Amino acid sequence: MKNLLIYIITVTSMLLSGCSDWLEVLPKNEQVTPNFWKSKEDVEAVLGSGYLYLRNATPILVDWGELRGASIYAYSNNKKQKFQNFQITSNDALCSWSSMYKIINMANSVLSYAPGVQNKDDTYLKVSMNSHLTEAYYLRGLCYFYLVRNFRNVPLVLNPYIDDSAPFDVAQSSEKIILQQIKNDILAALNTGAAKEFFENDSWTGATKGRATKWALYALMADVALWDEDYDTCIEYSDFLLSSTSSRRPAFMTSSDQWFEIYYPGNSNESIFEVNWASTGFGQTENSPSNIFTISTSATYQFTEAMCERLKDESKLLTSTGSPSVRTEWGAYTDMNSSDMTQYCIWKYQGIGFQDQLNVRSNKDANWIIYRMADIMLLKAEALIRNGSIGYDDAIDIINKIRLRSGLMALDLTGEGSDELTLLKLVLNERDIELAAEGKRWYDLLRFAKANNYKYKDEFIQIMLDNNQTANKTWLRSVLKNTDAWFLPVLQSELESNPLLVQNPYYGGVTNK
Amino acid sequence: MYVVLYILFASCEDPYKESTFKIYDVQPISSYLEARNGDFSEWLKIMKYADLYNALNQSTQVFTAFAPTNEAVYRFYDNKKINSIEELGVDYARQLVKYHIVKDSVSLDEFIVGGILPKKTLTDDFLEVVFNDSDEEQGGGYNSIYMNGNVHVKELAISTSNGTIYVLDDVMRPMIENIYEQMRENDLNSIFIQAIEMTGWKDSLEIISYQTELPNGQIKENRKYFTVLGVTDNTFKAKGINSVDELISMLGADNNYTNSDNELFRYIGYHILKGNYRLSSLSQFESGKNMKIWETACADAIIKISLEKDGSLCINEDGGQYYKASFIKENSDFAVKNGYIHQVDNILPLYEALLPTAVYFDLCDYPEVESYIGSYGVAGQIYKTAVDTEKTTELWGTNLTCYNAVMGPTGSASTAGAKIGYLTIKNDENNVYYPCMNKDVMELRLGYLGNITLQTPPIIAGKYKVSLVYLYANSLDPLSRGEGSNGGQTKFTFTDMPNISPANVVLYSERTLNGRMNIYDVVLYEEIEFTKTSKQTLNIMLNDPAASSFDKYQVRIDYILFEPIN
Repeated sequence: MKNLLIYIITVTSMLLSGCSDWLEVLPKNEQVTPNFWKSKEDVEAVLGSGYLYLRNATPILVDWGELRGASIYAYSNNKKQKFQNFQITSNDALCSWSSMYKIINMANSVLSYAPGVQNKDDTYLKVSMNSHLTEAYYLRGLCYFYLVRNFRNVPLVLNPYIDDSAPFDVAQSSEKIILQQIKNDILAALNTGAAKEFFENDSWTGATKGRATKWALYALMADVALWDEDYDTCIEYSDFLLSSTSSRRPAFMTSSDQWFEIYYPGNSNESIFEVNWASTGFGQTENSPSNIFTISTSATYQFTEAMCERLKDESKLLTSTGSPSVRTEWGAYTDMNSSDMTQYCIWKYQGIGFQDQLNVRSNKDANWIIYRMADIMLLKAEALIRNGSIGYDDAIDIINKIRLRSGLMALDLTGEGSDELTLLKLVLNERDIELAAEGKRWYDLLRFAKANNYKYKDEFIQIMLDNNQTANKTWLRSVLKNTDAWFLPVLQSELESNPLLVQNPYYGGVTNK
Repeated sequence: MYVVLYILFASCEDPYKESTFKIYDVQPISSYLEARNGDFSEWLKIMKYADLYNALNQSTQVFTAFAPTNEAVYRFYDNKKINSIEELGVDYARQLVKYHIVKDSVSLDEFIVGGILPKKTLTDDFLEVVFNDSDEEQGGGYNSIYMNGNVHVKELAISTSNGTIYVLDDVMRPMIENIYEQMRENDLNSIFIQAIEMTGWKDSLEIISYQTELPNGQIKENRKYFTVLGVTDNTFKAKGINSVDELISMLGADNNYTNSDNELFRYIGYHILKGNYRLSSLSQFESGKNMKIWETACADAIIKISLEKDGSLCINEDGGQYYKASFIKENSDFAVKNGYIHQVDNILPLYEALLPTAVYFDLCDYPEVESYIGSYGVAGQIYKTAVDTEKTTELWGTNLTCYNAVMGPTGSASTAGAKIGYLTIKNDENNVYYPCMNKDVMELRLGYLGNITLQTPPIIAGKYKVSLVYLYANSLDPLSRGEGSNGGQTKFTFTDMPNISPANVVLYSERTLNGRMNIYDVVLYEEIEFTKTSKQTLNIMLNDPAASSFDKYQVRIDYILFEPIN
């Protein structure tokens, strides 16, 4: 932690000047110390840095969310392969949480200093300040949510580190406390009444999807509540989105013709929050999903054989339109191999339209979607199923809406006679296909496995065995028996710097240096 | 001047005075263990008594040391009924410590690949890393790694200046004793061991290695391995057999116990498999199968091992309560110098009415080949194991009795390739040959009309479809070279069955993919009947003139499949 904090202070001190646009905003050449905070623009600069750091963190969010889920695997890169094989140790950079704490520090800085700016800048209205706070709460909550899902217990830091007066050594807080803090942050944000439904920005048309809105806060709360097995809250906040009548609400796009718009041009009506890139004008392509999920026979990230089979199955399913499901070739994937071997790469971040393989993106700047309406609908469906048989029919309706949008026929199924496990697997499968390569799979599987006192742990292990194609099966079965192994170790250098940190007990015997 | 100097010295106080510094990885292995004397004092005593303490501190060498904790050593002493290492003598101590040392680094990445470690111990033995997937509370993964299946690894990959340490919760039993010696001392098998002595099987079970003379006169030492399915006294007693005499009576054996037809001789032979098989090896089945036939040391007698629905391994499940047996897990996987000892829970008499079952004939699956590769395989090659690169060992001219090969009269055009090659494939799932069974292949470059004769595993009497699974790549295409090729004709003859016509198949000009890249299959016989349960003698002849004219010509065989019909 100390390393991280020193790093944060250093980085914060060295932030360079840049353009004042939200897509490229950085504090000017001054430290983010109390003396820095003088105007509304300063607050926006630091807030913008939070979004910038989120963009920089996207590669690790891809690895964390996908590789262990085994629908996508690392075709190359030894470190990523170790990660997907659950053979990570505390010296591997993939278990560094620093990217998340950098964002948290930006959010904490805004939350601490923005109120004081009002006394210095007469043009900084309270409503603007509150609006900035809602975004900071969102970014902090989102980052802690990533941390808690990957590390379970992490240090809860709520104040900015701007100098040595801040305590360096912070012990981990439990998952429960972290989750409660995220919920408190979301509620605090919503209670300001300043969370926006949209952002108007002449130079950035995607601002409404690229900055945290009221809708993004609702989505985060629904996701956190589902993880926390608080199903009523998940349904309640999902419905804030699904039942909204606001003209600015994100809306599930029901036409399969529109499905590819989610990825190209992005920032679609369905989108709730996505990390934005802009090649034109800003030259931003680094770390974009377009450059992460590349297309070649040796692409680092490819669909696993089991996922390829599911995608093939999707291609064979009857559709309501007579056309193939949009979540198939030249929609979700492209087949790299013309022989009898299957090798599918991720297509959704490369193309410009379904089955428009002749045209690819001219700019490799696809956005990374954190939340969209189909995701929220399926979260709600999962909560309904977990809440008991009374919600089964509604859950099936939701799944069918997603299927119909992709072009498939509705499931021939009713709630009556269905059981929880069958329906949960249907949701899991629907999310797998619909949200393929969107950083969701591993968390979906973990939720499935851990809820209700690990009721479906064995089923989870079997899914992993069926999908992971790179790990030794005996090893995989063995490692997944240990629920601590589902979470990452604390980086060794953090442990050595902060004596209050406690290593995940699963990694206690691994002393590899 | 003095003032300036004073100021300089006075102002240059070391800001890190009173601080302590942590320096990593500077100690060699023995010193590291010494620094953790509270954990390893007993193992250090053994190292010093064995005079290997300083050896593990050498800075010019790299080692991997397996270090048992004090509790592990105390437990070892208790099991041995001794109080100190001195009671076992220096020779034993040296073997013990050497068995815990690999003279090379084994990184964590290499270690958690699992299976047999690619590097041998100083006693020239392989160690096996096994992952336990049983339902231990919060065990699993890094916390459930076992050496040789039963010695828990407590700490993994501690780096030192001259290698790596793995901490063990038990002492690995050095493979000093042979099967006979171990069974004689284990207090479990007094009836069984008397039968071993009376029948003369004792002499076989004491063999650690044997010598062969190569054509150039060089003598080679080959390791010999057995796997014994022991029957404990308790199991015998539960079946009403309280002495070896009662066992003889039950079997109806006459008193010529060393005669190969004697029922007691055959009974003991039936409990001996030729080869070195842990339970995990006996649990390996071909894709989609859950049973396998195993040859025993008893002539023409086989056992069938199957995986039951509850996950247990069963022997001769067809035979019902009287004939079948299961392994007693806690008394199995006992490694000794020349193999493994497993205990079974029934008397396991000979059962000769097994139902036909599929046989996957891996042409390299002979204990003789295993021991040859273990001793003389090319550097880094491990029998039936994919390692970092493809490796081939020449078996031609090695006097292995399992093969009788003849070079064709016009010889092979290949000058570099092995005539009879034992090839293990590259450990890369993207390699087209990776799906090969047992990760190995036999290569034949014997020239036109060159041939090899070998014996199949025992095949239960019945009707079978016989198929060949083989490898091919376009670069090996003899037709494209215009060398007078007939497309890779190869002849298969069951020489003990003169009424059966040879199968003359074309391997290269007509190919059917086996569902796997570059691996093909061809039917040798749609139906063939074996009237007696026994091994079959098979001759494979390269029947394409290109075998003598095309330098890349070779036949690469994965396995031959015998599938029962009806």
